[in-house]
Amino acid sequence: MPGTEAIKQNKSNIVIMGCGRVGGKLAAMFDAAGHKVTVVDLDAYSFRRLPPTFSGTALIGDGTDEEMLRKAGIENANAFIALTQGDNRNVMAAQIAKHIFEVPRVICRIYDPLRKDIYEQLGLESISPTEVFADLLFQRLSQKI
Amino acid sequence: MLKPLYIVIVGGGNIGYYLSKALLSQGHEVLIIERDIRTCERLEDELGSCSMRGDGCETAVLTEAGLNRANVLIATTSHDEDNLVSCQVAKHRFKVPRTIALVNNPSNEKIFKKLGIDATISVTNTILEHVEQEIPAHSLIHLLTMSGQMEEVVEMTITRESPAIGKSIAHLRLPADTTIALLMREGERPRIPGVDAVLKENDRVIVLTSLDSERNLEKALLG
Amino acid sequence: MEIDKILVAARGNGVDQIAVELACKIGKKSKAKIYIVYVIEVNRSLPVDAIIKPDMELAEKVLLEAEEYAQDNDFEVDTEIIQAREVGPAIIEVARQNSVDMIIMGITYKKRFGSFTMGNAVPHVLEEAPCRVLICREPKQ
Repeated sequence: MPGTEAIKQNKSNIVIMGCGRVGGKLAAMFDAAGHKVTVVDLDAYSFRRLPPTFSGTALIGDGTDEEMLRKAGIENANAFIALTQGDNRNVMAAQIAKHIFEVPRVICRIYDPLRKDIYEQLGLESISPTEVFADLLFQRLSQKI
Repeated sequence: MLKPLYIVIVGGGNIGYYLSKALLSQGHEVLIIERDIRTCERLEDELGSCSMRGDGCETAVLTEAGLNRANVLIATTSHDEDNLVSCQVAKHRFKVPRTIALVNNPSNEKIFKKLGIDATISVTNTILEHVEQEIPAHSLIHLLTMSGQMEEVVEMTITRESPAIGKSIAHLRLPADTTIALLMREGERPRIPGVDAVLKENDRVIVLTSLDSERNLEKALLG
Repeated sequence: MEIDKILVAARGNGVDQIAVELACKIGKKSKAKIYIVYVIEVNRSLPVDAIIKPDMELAEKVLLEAEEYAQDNDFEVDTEIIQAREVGPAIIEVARQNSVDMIIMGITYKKRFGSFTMGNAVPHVLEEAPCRVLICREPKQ
Protein backbone atom coordinates (compact mmCIF):
# COMPACT_ATOMS: atom_id res chain seq x y z
CA MET A 1 0.00 0.00 0.00
CA PRO A 2 1.40 3.42 -0.83
CA GLY A 3 1.91 5.58 2.20
CA THR A 4 2.26 2.72 4.65
CA GLU A 5 6.00 3.06 4.90
CA ALA A 6 5.77 6.75 5.56
CA ILE A 7 3.37 6.24 8.43
CA LYS A 8 5.55 3.59 9.99
CA GLN A 9 8.86 5.37 9.87
CA ASN A 10 8.62 9.11 9.68
CA LYS A 11 6.45 11.68 11.28
CA SER A 12 3.40 11.79 9.10
CA ASN A 13 0.60 14.26 8.68
CA ILE A 14 -2.68 12.56 9.41
CA VAL A 15 -6.11 14.09 8.98
CA ILE A 16 -9.02 12.38 10.74
CA MET A 17 -12.59 13.35 10.02
CA GLY A 18 -14.98 12.56 12.84
CA CYS A 19 -13.96 12.60 16.49
CA GLY A 20 -16.23 9.88 17.80
CA ARG A 21 -14.97 7.00 19.93
CA VAL A 22 -12.95 5.48 17.11
CA GLY A 23 -11.79 8.80 15.67
CA GLY A 24 -10.80 10.15 19.06
CA LYS A 25 -8.92 6.99 19.99
CA LEU A 26 -7.13 6.77 16.66
CA ALA A 27 -6.13 10.44 16.90
CA ALA A 28 -4.73 9.84 20.38
CA MET A 29 -2.80 6.77 19.21
CA PHE A 30 -1.16 8.50 16.25
CA ASP A 31 -0.45 11.54 18.40
CA ALA A 32 1.22 9.39 21.05
CA ALA A 33 3.28 7.74 18.32
CA GLY A 34 4.66 11.15 17.42
CA HIS A 35 2.72 11.97 14.26
CA LYS A 36 1.12 15.27 13.40
CA VAL A 37 -2.61 14.75 13.75
CA THR A 38 -5.51 17.01 12.79
CA VAL A 39 -9.04 16.01 13.78
CA VAL A 40 -12.09 17.63 12.20
CA ASP A 41 -15.56 17.36 13.67
CA LEU A 42 -18.78 19.34 13.32
CA ASP A 43 -19.35 19.29 17.04
CA ALA A 44 -16.85 20.79 19.47
CA TYR A 45 -18.23 18.63 22.25
CA SER A 46 -16.84 15.51 20.61
CA PHE A 47 -13.30 16.74 21.19
CA ARG A 48 -13.73 15.85 24.87
CA ARG A 49 -12.76 12.36 23.78
CA LEU A 50 -9.23 13.50 23.02
CA PRO A 51 -6.85 12.89 25.93
CA PRO A 52 -5.40 15.91 27.77
CA THR A 53 -2.00 14.97 26.40
CA PHE A 54 -3.18 15.35 22.79
CA SER A 55 -0.79 17.71 21.04
CA GLY A 56 -2.40 17.72 17.61
CA THR A 57 -4.96 20.09 16.15
CA ALA A 58 -8.71 19.86 16.64
CA LEU A 59 -10.86 21.85 14.20
CA ILE A 60 -14.58 22.45 14.17
CA GLY A 61 -15.88 22.08 10.64
CA ASP A 62 -17.36 19.99 7.88
CA GLY A 63 -14.94 17.47 6.44
CA THR A 64 -16.90 17.22 3.20
CA ASP A 65 -16.09 20.87 2.56
CA GLU A 66 -13.08 21.39 0.35
CA GLU A 67 -12.08 24.62 2.08
CA MET A 68 -12.30 23.02 5.49
CA LEU A 69 -10.09 20.17 4.38
CA ARG A 70 -7.55 22.67 3.14
CA LYS A 71 -7.60 24.35 6.52
CA ALA A 72 -7.02 20.97 8.10
CA GLY A 73 -3.86 20.65 6.03
CA ILE A 74 -5.10 18.03 3.61
CA GLU A 75 -2.70 19.26 0.94
CA ASN A 76 0.26 18.01 2.95
CA ALA A 77 -1.43 15.00 4.49
CA ASN A 78 0.04 11.53 4.12
CA ALA A 79 -3.17 9.90 5.25
CA PHE A 80 -6.84 10.76 5.55
CA ILE A 81 -9.35 8.70 7.49
CA ALA A 82 -13.11 9.32 7.30
CA LEU A 83 -14.85 8.23 10.51
CA THR A 84 -18.10 10.15 10.88
CA GLN A 85 -21.40 8.42 11.63
CA GLY A 86 -22.64 9.00 8.09
CA ASP A 87 -21.54 6.53 5.42
CA ASN A 88 -22.23 9.04 2.69
CA ARG A 89 -20.34 11.83 4.38
CA ASN A 90 -17.37 9.49 4.75
CA VAL A 91 -17.58 8.40 1.15
CA MET A 92 -17.72 11.96 -0.11
CA ALA A 93 -14.88 13.26 2.07
CA ALA A 94 -12.69 10.27 1.28
CA GLN A 95 -13.22 10.75 -2.46
CA ILE A 96 -12.37 14.43 -2.20
CA ALA A 97 -9.19 13.53 -0.30
CA LYS A 98 -8.26 10.86 -2.83
CA HIS A 99 -9.26 12.40 -6.13
CA ILE A 100 -9.03 16.14 -5.56
CA PHE A 101 -6.16 16.37 -3.09
CA GLU A 102 -4.48 13.10 -4.05
CA VAL A 103 -3.70 12.11 -0.48
CA PRO A 104 -1.48 9.00 -0.73
CA ARG A 105 -3.47 6.89 1.73
CA VAL A 106 -7.19 7.28 2.27
CA ILE A 107 -9.35 4.96 4.36
CA CYS A 108 -13.10 5.25 4.63
CA ARG A 109 -15.48 3.72 7.14
CA ILE A 110 -18.70 2.46 5.53
CA TYR A 111 -21.16 0.70 7.85
CA ASP A 112 -23.34 -0.61 5.02
CA PRO A 113 -21.53 -3.67 3.60
CA LEU A 114 -23.23 -3.38 0.20
CA ARG A 115 -22.19 0.23 -0.16
CA LYS A 116 -18.71 -0.72 0.97
CA ASP A 117 -18.45 -3.30 -1.82
CA ILE A 118 -19.39 -0.72 -4.42
CA TYR A 119 -16.80 1.79 -3.26
CA GLU A 120 -14.11 -0.87 -2.87
CA GLN A 121 -14.73 -1.70 -6.52
CA LEU A 122 -14.32 1.97 -7.31
CA GLY A 123 -10.91 1.83 -5.69
CA LEU A 124 -11.68 3.44 -2.37
CA GLU A 125 -10.06 1.61 0.52
CA SER A 126 -12.97 0.99 2.88
CA ILE A 127 -13.73 -0.89 6.06
CA SER A 128 -17.20 -1.96 7.15
CA PRO A 129 -17.31 -2.26 10.96
CA THR A 130 -20.54 -4.18 10.52
CA GLU A 131 -18.78 -6.91 8.59
CA VAL A 132 -15.68 -6.90 10.71
CA PHE A 133 -17.56 -7.18 13.99
CA ALA A 134 -20.04 -9.77 12.77
CA ASP A 135 -17.16 -11.86 11.41
CA LEU A 136 -15.31 -11.56 14.68
CA LEU A 137 -18.29 -12.67 16.72
CA PHE A 138 -19.03 -15.50 14.35
CA GLN A 139 -15.45 -16.78 14.47
CA ARG A 140 -15.22 -16.60 18.22
CA LEU A 141 -18.46 -18.40 18.77
CA SER A 142 -17.63 -20.99 16.13
CA GLN A 143 -14.35 -21.82 17.90
CA LYS A 144 -15.85 -22.21 21.37
CA ILE A 145 -18.85 -24.26 20.40
CA MET B 1 -43.21 13.08 -28.00
CA LEU B 2 -39.84 11.54 -27.34
CA LYS B 3 -39.65 7.97 -26.16
CA PRO B 4 -40.94 7.93 -22.58
CA LEU B 5 -38.16 7.42 -20.06
CA TYR B 6 -38.10 5.75 -16.69
CA ILE B 7 -36.83 8.41 -14.33
CA VAL B 8 -36.04 7.76 -10.68
CA ILE B 9 -35.94 10.78 -8.40
CA VAL B 10 -34.33 10.57 -4.98
CA GLY B 11 -35.87 12.99 -2.52
CA GLY B 12 -39.51 14.02 -2.43
CA GLY B 13 -39.08 17.59 -1.24
CA ASN B 14 -40.32 20.53 -3.24
CA ILE B 15 -37.86 20.03 -6.06
CA GLY B 16 -38.55 16.30 -6.31
CA TYR B 17 -42.28 16.85 -6.18
CA TYR B 18 -42.58 19.54 -8.82
CA LEU B 19 -40.02 17.85 -11.02
CA SER B 20 -42.03 14.63 -10.90
CA LYS B 21 -45.20 16.44 -11.69
CA ALA B 22 -43.65 18.04 -14.75
CA LEU B 23 -42.04 14.81 -15.94
CA LEU B 24 -45.26 12.86 -15.45
CA SER B 25 -47.18 15.39 -17.49
CA GLN B 26 -44.62 14.92 -20.27
CA GLY B 27 -45.54 11.25 -20.28
CA HIS B 28 -42.49 9.82 -18.54
CA GLU B 29 -42.59 7.09 -15.96
CA VAL B 30 -41.44 8.50 -12.64
CA LEU B 31 -40.64 7.01 -9.26
CA ILE B 32 -39.74 9.11 -6.24
CA ILE B 33 -37.74 7.51 -3.46
CA GLU B 34 -38.31 9.30 -0.18
CA ARG B 35 -37.16 8.45 3.34
CA ASP B 36 -39.90 10.18 5.29
CA ILE B 37 -43.16 8.26 5.56
CA ARG B 38 -45.32 11.37 5.89
CA THR B 39 -43.84 12.94 2.79
CA CYS B 40 -44.41 9.62 1.00
CA GLU B 41 -48.07 9.63 1.94
CA ARG B 42 -48.45 13.18 0.72
CA LEU B 43 -46.79 12.29 -2.59
CA GLU B 44 -49.06 9.29 -2.95
CA ASP B 45 -52.11 11.48 -2.41
CA GLU B 46 -50.98 14.04 -4.92
CA LEU B 47 -49.35 11.96 -7.61
CA GLY B 48 -50.65 8.40 -7.23
CA SER B 49 -48.52 5.27 -7.09
CA CYS B 50 -45.25 6.82 -8.02
CA SER B 51 -43.39 6.98 -4.78
CA MET B 52 -41.58 4.51 -2.64
CA ARG B 53 -40.38 4.78 0.90
CA GLY B 54 -36.72 4.11 1.48
CA ASP B 55 -33.14 5.32 1.48
CA GLY B 56 -32.15 6.20 -2.06
CA CYS B 57 -28.53 5.28 -1.37
CA GLU B 58 -29.25 1.70 -0.39
CA THR B 59 -28.70 -0.99 -2.95
CA ALA B 60 -31.71 -3.03 -1.79
CA VAL B 61 -34.05 -0.05 -2.14
CA LEU B 62 -32.67 0.86 -5.53
CA THR B 63 -33.04 -2.74 -6.69
CA GLU B 64 -36.67 -2.72 -5.65
CA ALA B 65 -37.08 0.57 -7.46
CA GLY B 66 -36.07 -1.23 -10.65
CA LEU B 67 -33.03 0.94 -11.19
CA ASN B 68 -31.70 -1.65 -13.63
CA ARG B 69 -34.07 -0.31 -16.27
CA ALA B 70 -33.96 3.37 -15.29
CA ASN B 71 -32.80 5.81 -17.95
CA VAL B 72 -32.10 8.67 -15.56
CA LEU B 73 -31.55 9.10 -11.84
CA ILE B 74 -31.96 12.56 -10.35
CA ALA B 75 -30.85 13.12 -6.75
CA THR B 76 -32.59 16.13 -5.24
CA THR B 77 -32.10 15.88 -1.48
CA SER B 78 -30.76 18.75 0.56
CA HIS B 79 -27.63 16.76 1.44
CA ASP B 80 -24.88 16.81 -1.13
CA GLU B 81 -23.22 13.66 0.20
CA ASP B 82 -26.45 11.71 -0.20
CA ASN B 83 -26.95 13.02 -3.72
CA LEU B 84 -23.41 12.05 -4.60
CA VAL B 85 -23.75 8.51 -3.28
CA SER B 86 -27.16 7.93 -4.90
CA CYS B 87 -25.74 8.97 -8.24
CA GLN B 88 -22.56 6.93 -7.88
CA VAL B 89 -24.39 3.79 -6.78
CA ALA B 90 -26.85 4.25 -9.66
CA LYS B 91 -24.06 4.68 -12.13
CA HIS B 92 -21.69 1.98 -11.02
CA ARG B 93 -23.93 -0.67 -9.54
CA PHE B 94 -26.95 -0.28 -11.81
CA LYS B 95 -25.34 1.24 -14.91
CA VAL B 96 -27.92 4.01 -15.13
CA PRO B 97 -26.97 5.93 -18.28
CA ARG B 98 -27.53 9.40 -16.89
CA THR B 99 -27.19 10.68 -13.34
CA ILE B 100 -28.03 14.20 -12.29
CA ALA B 101 -27.32 15.65 -8.87
CA LEU B 102 -28.59 18.72 -7.13
CA VAL B 103 -25.63 20.50 -5.57
CA ASN B 104 -26.51 22.51 -2.51
CA ASN B 105 -23.04 23.81 -1.86
CA PRO B 106 -21.87 25.37 -5.15
CA SER B 107 -18.25 24.51 -4.46
CA ASN B 108 -19.19 20.83 -4.74
CA GLU B 109 -20.12 21.18 -8.41
CA LYS B 110 -16.56 20.76 -9.58
CA ILE B 111 -16.00 17.83 -7.22
CA PHE B 112 -19.13 16.00 -8.38
CA LYS B 113 -18.11 16.37 -12.01
CA LYS B 114 -14.67 15.00 -11.20
CA LEU B 115 -16.27 12.07 -9.39
CA GLY B 116 -18.23 11.10 -12.50
CA ILE B 117 -21.69 12.59 -12.03
CA ASP B 118 -23.06 13.36 -15.50
CA ALA B 119 -24.73 16.63 -14.65
CA THR B 120 -24.97 18.85 -11.63
CA ILE B 121 -27.40 21.59 -10.84
CA SER B 122 -26.45 24.27 -8.38
CA VAL B 123 -29.20 26.68 -7.45
CA THR B 124 -26.68 29.31 -6.46
CA ASN B 125 -24.79 29.10 -9.73
CA THR B 126 -27.98 29.03 -11.78
CA ILE B 127 -29.17 32.24 -10.16
CA LEU B 128 -25.74 33.79 -10.59
CA GLU B 129 -25.75 33.02 -14.29
CA HIS B 130 -29.04 34.84 -14.60
CA VAL B 131 -27.80 37.81 -12.67
CA GLU B 132 -24.77 38.00 -14.91
CA GLN B 133 -26.95 37.86 -18.00
CA GLU B 134 -29.22 40.63 -16.79
CA ILE B 135 -26.54 43.02 -15.70
CA PRO B 136 -23.78 43.87 -18.18
CA ALA B 137 -20.21 43.56 -17.03
CA HIS B 138 -19.49 46.08 -14.32
CA SER B 139 -18.86 49.29 -16.18
CA LEU B 140 -17.49 51.03 -13.19
CA ILE B 141 -15.59 49.61 -10.29
CA HIS B 142 -15.63 51.52 -7.05
CA LEU B 143 -12.14 51.66 -5.64
CA LEU B 144 -12.35 54.16 -2.86
CA THR B 145 -14.74 56.61 -1.30
CA MET B 146 -13.11 59.59 0.32
CA SER B 147 -14.24 59.68 3.87
CA GLY B 148 -16.53 62.54 4.80
CA GLN B 149 -16.75 63.81 1.24
CA MET B 150 -18.85 62.98 -1.76
CA GLU B 151 -15.79 62.19 -3.82
CA GLU B 152 -14.75 58.77 -4.94
CA VAL B 153 -12.25 56.94 -7.04
CA VAL B 154 -13.48 54.51 -9.68
CA GLU B 155 -11.92 52.35 -12.34
CA MET B 156 -13.35 51.97 -15.84
CA THR B 157 -12.38 50.11 -19.00
CA ILE B 158 -12.97 51.63 -22.40
CA THR B 159 -15.07 49.14 -24.33
CA ARG B 160 -15.29 48.70 -28.09
CA GLU B 161 -18.55 50.64 -28.28
CA SER B 162 -17.25 53.54 -26.26
CA PRO B 163 -17.88 56.97 -27.83
CA ALA B 164 -14.65 58.15 -26.19
CA ILE B 165 -12.42 56.11 -28.51
CA GLY B 166 -10.29 58.31 -30.68
CA LYS B 167 -11.13 61.44 -28.73
CA SER B 168 -8.75 63.48 -26.64
CA ILE B 169 -9.63 63.97 -23.00
CA ALA B 170 -10.22 67.67 -23.64
CA HIS B 171 -12.98 66.75 -26.07
CA LEU B 172 -14.78 64.35 -23.76
CA ARG B 173 -17.86 65.78 -22.14
CA LEU B 174 -16.78 64.94 -18.64
CA PRO B 175 -18.67 66.33 -15.65
CA ALA B 176 -16.98 69.38 -14.16
CA ASP B 177 -15.95 67.68 -10.93
CA THR B 178 -14.41 64.69 -12.70
CA THR B 179 -10.78 64.12 -13.54
CA ILE B 180 -9.10 61.23 -15.26
CA ALA B 181 -6.24 60.64 -12.86
CA LEU B 182 -4.47 57.71 -14.39
CA LEU B 183 -4.36 56.01 -17.78
CA MET B 184 -3.33 52.37 -18.02
CA ARG B 185 -2.62 50.93 -21.44
CA GLU B 186 -1.31 47.50 -22.30
CA GLY B 187 2.44 47.54 -22.88
CA GLU B 188 2.85 51.00 -21.39
CA ARG B 189 3.54 52.31 -17.94
CA PRO B 190 0.52 53.83 -16.22
CA ARG B 191 0.65 57.60 -16.63
CA ILE B 192 -1.19 60.76 -15.74
CA PRO B 193 -2.80 61.71 -19.03
CA GLY B 194 -2.67 65.24 -20.37
CA VAL B 195 -5.75 66.89 -21.87
CA ASP B 196 -4.53 65.93 -25.34
CA ALA B 197 -4.23 62.22 -24.57
CA VAL B 198 -6.40 60.14 -26.95
CA LEU B 199 -8.28 57.13 -25.58
CA LYS B 200 -8.17 53.70 -27.18
CA GLU B 201 -10.15 50.53 -26.82
CA ASN B 202 -9.22 48.47 -23.73
CA ASP B 203 -7.63 51.46 -21.99
CA ARG B 204 -8.23 51.40 -18.28
CA VAL B 205 -8.62 54.65 -16.43
CA ILE B 206 -8.74 55.60 -12.79
CA VAL B 207 -11.14 58.48 -12.38
CA LEU B 208 -11.70 60.91 -9.56
CA THR B 209 -15.38 61.78 -9.51
CA SER B 210 -18.41 62.24 -7.27
CA LEU B 211 -21.42 60.13 -6.58
CA ASP B 212 -23.63 62.63 -8.41
CA SER B 213 -21.51 62.62 -11.54
CA GLU B 214 -21.17 58.88 -11.89
CA ARG B 215 -23.92 58.58 -14.48
CA ASN B 216 -22.64 61.36 -16.68
CA LEU B 217 -19.16 59.94 -16.46
CA GLU B 218 -20.42 56.56 -17.65
CA LYS B 219 -22.24 58.30 -20.50
CA ALA B 220 -19.14 60.16 -21.59
CA LEU B 221 -16.80 57.18 -21.48
CA LEU B 222 -19.05 54.23 -22.26
CA GLY B 223 -22.06 55.69 -24.05
CA MET C 1 -79.72 0.07 0.72
CA GLU C 2 -79.68 -0.23 -3.06
CA ILE C 3 -76.79 -2.29 -4.38
CA ASP C 4 -76.68 -2.33 -8.16
CA LYS C 5 -73.00 -2.78 -8.81
CA ILE C 6 -70.63 -4.93 -6.81
CA LEU C 7 -66.88 -5.11 -7.32
CA VAL C 8 -65.12 -8.29 -6.26
CA ALA C 9 -61.38 -7.82 -6.00
CA ALA C 10 -60.03 -11.29 -6.65
CA ARG C 11 -56.61 -11.99 -5.22
CA GLY C 12 -55.95 -15.57 -6.24
CA ASN C 13 -55.66 -16.47 -2.59
CA GLY C 14 -58.34 -19.15 -2.24
CA VAL C 15 -60.84 -16.81 -0.60
CA ASP C 16 -62.01 -15.45 -3.94
CA GLN C 17 -64.68 -18.12 -4.27
CA ILE C 18 -66.24 -17.04 -0.96
CA ALA C 19 -66.08 -13.41 -2.01
CA VAL C 20 -67.95 -14.15 -5.24
CA GLU C 21 -70.55 -16.20 -3.38
CA LEU C 22 -71.07 -13.27 -1.02
CA ALA C 23 -71.45 -10.90 -3.94
CA CYS C 24 -74.11 -13.15 -5.44
CA LYS C 25 -76.02 -13.35 -2.19
CA ILE C 26 -75.93 -9.62 -1.58
CA GLY C 27 -76.78 -8.74 -5.16
CA LYS C 28 -79.51 -11.28 -5.65
CA LYS C 29 -82.48 -9.13 -4.79
CA SER C 30 -81.42 -6.10 -6.80
CA LYS C 31 -80.07 -8.21 -9.69
CA ALA C 32 -76.77 -6.40 -9.30
CA LYS C 33 -74.10 -6.36 -11.92
CA ILE C 34 -70.90 -8.00 -10.68
CA TYR C 35 -67.48 -6.73 -11.66
CA ILE C 36 -64.62 -9.07 -10.93
CA VAL C 37 -61.18 -7.55 -11.16
CA TYR C 38 -57.78 -9.11 -10.69
CA VAL C 39 -54.83 -6.78 -10.14
CA ILE C 40 -51.38 -8.01 -11.10
CA GLU C 41 -48.83 -6.15 -9.04
CA VAL C 42 -45.85 -5.45 -11.30
CA ASN C 43 -42.44 -5.08 -9.74
CA ARG C 44 -40.69 -1.79 -10.52
CA SER C 45 -37.89 -3.63 -12.25
CA LEU C 46 -40.34 -4.22 -15.11
CA PRO C 47 -42.45 -1.78 -17.09
CA VAL C 48 -46.00 -1.71 -15.82
CA ASP C 49 -47.29 -3.25 -19.05
CA ALA C 50 -44.78 -6.10 -19.04
CA ILE C 51 -46.22 -9.51 -19.83
CA ILE C 52 -45.70 -11.78 -16.85
CA LYS C 53 -46.90 -15.17 -17.98
CA PRO C 54 -47.43 -17.03 -14.68
CA ASP C 55 -49.28 -14.09 -13.14
CA MET C 56 -51.40 -13.70 -16.21
CA GLU C 57 -52.27 -17.41 -16.26
CA LEU C 58 -53.26 -17.36 -12.59
CA ALA C 59 -55.35 -14.23 -13.12
CA GLU C 60 -57.15 -15.76 -16.07
CA LYS C 61 -57.84 -18.96 -14.16
CA VAL C 62 -59.16 -17.13 -11.09
CA LEU C 63 -61.37 -14.85 -13.15
CA LEU C 64 -62.73 -17.68 -15.24
CA GLU C 65 -63.80 -19.66 -12.17
CA ALA C 66 -65.39 -16.63 -10.58
CA GLU C 67 -67.14 -15.63 -13.77
CA GLU C 68 -68.57 -19.11 -14.27
CA TYR C 69 -69.93 -19.21 -10.75
CA ALA C 70 -71.63 -15.82 -11.06
CA GLN C 71 -73.02 -16.61 -14.52
CA ASP C 72 -74.40 -19.92 -13.26
CA ASN C 73 -76.29 -17.85 -10.73
CA ASP C 74 -77.70 -15.62 -13.47
CA PHE C 75 -75.66 -12.53 -12.84
CA GLU C 76 -74.40 -10.10 -15.39
CA VAL C 77 -70.62 -10.31 -15.00
CA ASP C 78 -67.75 -8.17 -16.16
CA THR C 79 -64.17 -9.30 -15.60
CA GLU C 80 -60.96 -7.38 -15.96
CA ILE C 81 -57.24 -7.92 -15.42
CA ILE C 82 -55.29 -4.83 -14.47
CA GLN C 83 -51.54 -4.37 -14.14
CA ALA C 84 -50.44 -1.83 -11.55
CA ARG C 85 -47.65 -1.01 -9.15
CA GLU C 86 -49.92 -1.38 -6.15
CA VAL C 87 -53.12 -3.34 -5.72
CA GLY C 88 -55.01 -0.96 -3.41
CA PRO C 89 -55.06 2.17 -5.57
CA ALA C 90 -55.88 0.08 -8.64
CA ILE C 91 -58.97 -1.38 -6.96
CA ILE C 92 -60.09 2.09 -5.90
CA GLU C 93 -59.62 3.30 -9.46
CA VAL C 94 -61.84 0.55 -10.89
CA ALA C 95 -64.46 1.14 -8.19
CA ARG C 96 -64.56 4.83 -9.11
CA GLN C 97 -64.67 4.27 -12.86
CA ASN C 98 -67.64 1.94 -12.58
CA SER C 99 -69.30 3.78 -9.69
CA VAL C 100 -69.80 0.54 -7.78
CA ASP C 101 -71.86 0.44 -4.60
CA MET C 102 -69.74 -2.09 -2.80
CA ILE C 103 -66.30 -3.66 -2.90
CA ILE C 104 -65.87 -7.21 -1.62
CA MET C 105 -62.45 -8.65 -0.87
CA GLY C 106 -61.41 -11.96 0.60
CA ILE C 107 -58.31 -12.27 2.74
CA THR C 108 -56.37 -15.14 4.21
CA TYR C 109 -55.28 -15.32 7.82
CA LYS C 110 -51.68 -14.23 7.61
CA LYS C 111 -49.01 -13.36 10.12
CA ARG C 112 -46.00 -11.23 9.48
CA PHE C 113 -43.21 -10.82 12.03
CA GLY C 114 -45.46 -12.57 14.54
CA SER C 115 -48.45 -10.26 14.16
CA PHE C 116 -51.65 -10.58 12.18
CA THR C 117 -51.53 -8.60 8.96
CA MET C 118 -53.97 -7.73 6.21
CA GLY C 119 -51.21 -6.67 3.81
CA ASN C 120 -51.25 -3.30 2.11
CA ALA C 121 -54.18 -3.52 -0.25
CA VAL C 122 -57.03 -4.13 2.22
CA PRO C 123 -56.20 -1.24 4.58
CA HIS C 124 -55.81 1.04 1.56
CA VAL C 125 -59.21 0.05 0.20
CA LEU C 126 -60.81 0.42 3.62
CA GLU C 127 -59.37 3.87 3.93
CA GLU C 128 -59.97 5.16 0.43
CA ALA C 129 -63.00 3.42 -1.04
CA PRO C 130 -65.84 5.78 -2.00
CA CYS C 131 -68.37 2.99 -1.35
CA ARG C 132 -69.13 0.24 1.15
CA VAL C 133 -66.42 -2.34 1.69
CA LEU C 134 -66.93 -5.90 2.79
CA ILE C 135 -63.92 -7.92 3.87
CA CYS C 136 -64.22 -11.66 4.28
CA ARG C 137 -61.43 -13.41 6.16
CA GLU C 138 -60.95 -17.14 5.98
CA PRO C 139 -61.26 -18.94 9.33
CA LYS C 140 -58.24 -18.94 11.61
CA GLN C 141 -56.78 -22.41 11.89
